[in-house]
Amino acid sequence: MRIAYGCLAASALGLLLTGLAAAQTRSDLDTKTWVKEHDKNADGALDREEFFQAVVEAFYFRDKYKTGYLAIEELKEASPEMLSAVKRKDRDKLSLQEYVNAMFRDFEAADTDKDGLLTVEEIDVYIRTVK
Amino acid sequence: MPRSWLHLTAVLMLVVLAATGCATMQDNPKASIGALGGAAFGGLIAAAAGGGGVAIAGAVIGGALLGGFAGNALDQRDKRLAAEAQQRALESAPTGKPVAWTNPDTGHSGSVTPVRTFQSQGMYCREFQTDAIIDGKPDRAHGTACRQPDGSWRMQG
Repeated sequence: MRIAYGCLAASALGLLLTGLAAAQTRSDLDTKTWVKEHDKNADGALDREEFFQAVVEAFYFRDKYKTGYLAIEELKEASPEMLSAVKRKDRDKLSLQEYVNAMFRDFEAADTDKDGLLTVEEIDVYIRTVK
Repeated sequence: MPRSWLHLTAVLMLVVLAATGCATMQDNPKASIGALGGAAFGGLIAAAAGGGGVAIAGAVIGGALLGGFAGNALDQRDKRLAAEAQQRALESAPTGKPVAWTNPDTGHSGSVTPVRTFQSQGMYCREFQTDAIIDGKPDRAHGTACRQPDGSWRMQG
């Protein structure tokens, strides 16, 4: 079960960045930039609150039609695994809460030293590991 | 110019000042200053041209209306530019990225920066910070707005 979460999470987290860059029509968004933009206390890592804010914002920018949900076509570019998760729910859209829950499974799996903080290195290693 | 005409102009300007009121002076000082300036200019021109009491009174009131309108129009453009920047910032700016506005007519400028995004009762809401420099003085405020179904953003609280 943990492995399944990990696979889902890793794909979602890795593609969160590229999806965000596309949604914001930016090409400069790499892991380092993304972490820096959301690292409010400038300690070089994202804590849970900072990560939560980043994920909510990602959801907002992905939601092209601002329906409050992410539809399948809005998820396709994000993650095939997330798309599968939606299909398993027998629904064609994902709520913010469901999206946040999936991303926090990423957070827990990527936070290898379990200090409650995600560093750029942890995210990059996690994405590479699952690819 | 006879002294009595100056007195009349001064009295009428006091009437204009009373009519524009302290509240207007606080809410929209440029409109009030424009009104007073327009009143003074109109009254003095009429008096210098040898106009009678009625002409001076008319010029004072007409000047006040025109001056107030001009001052108000400039402030309206500031407000419109700030509102457009706010719409752009809330709709499409990432958190922490300011969207700037400048009014070259007045030299006033400012920016709107989203600081947090959340959902409330199914609506997207964003907290934001506004910074403006009006007549050389910096001003900062915070607010929250929620996105309406028509795409507009409504201020909360």
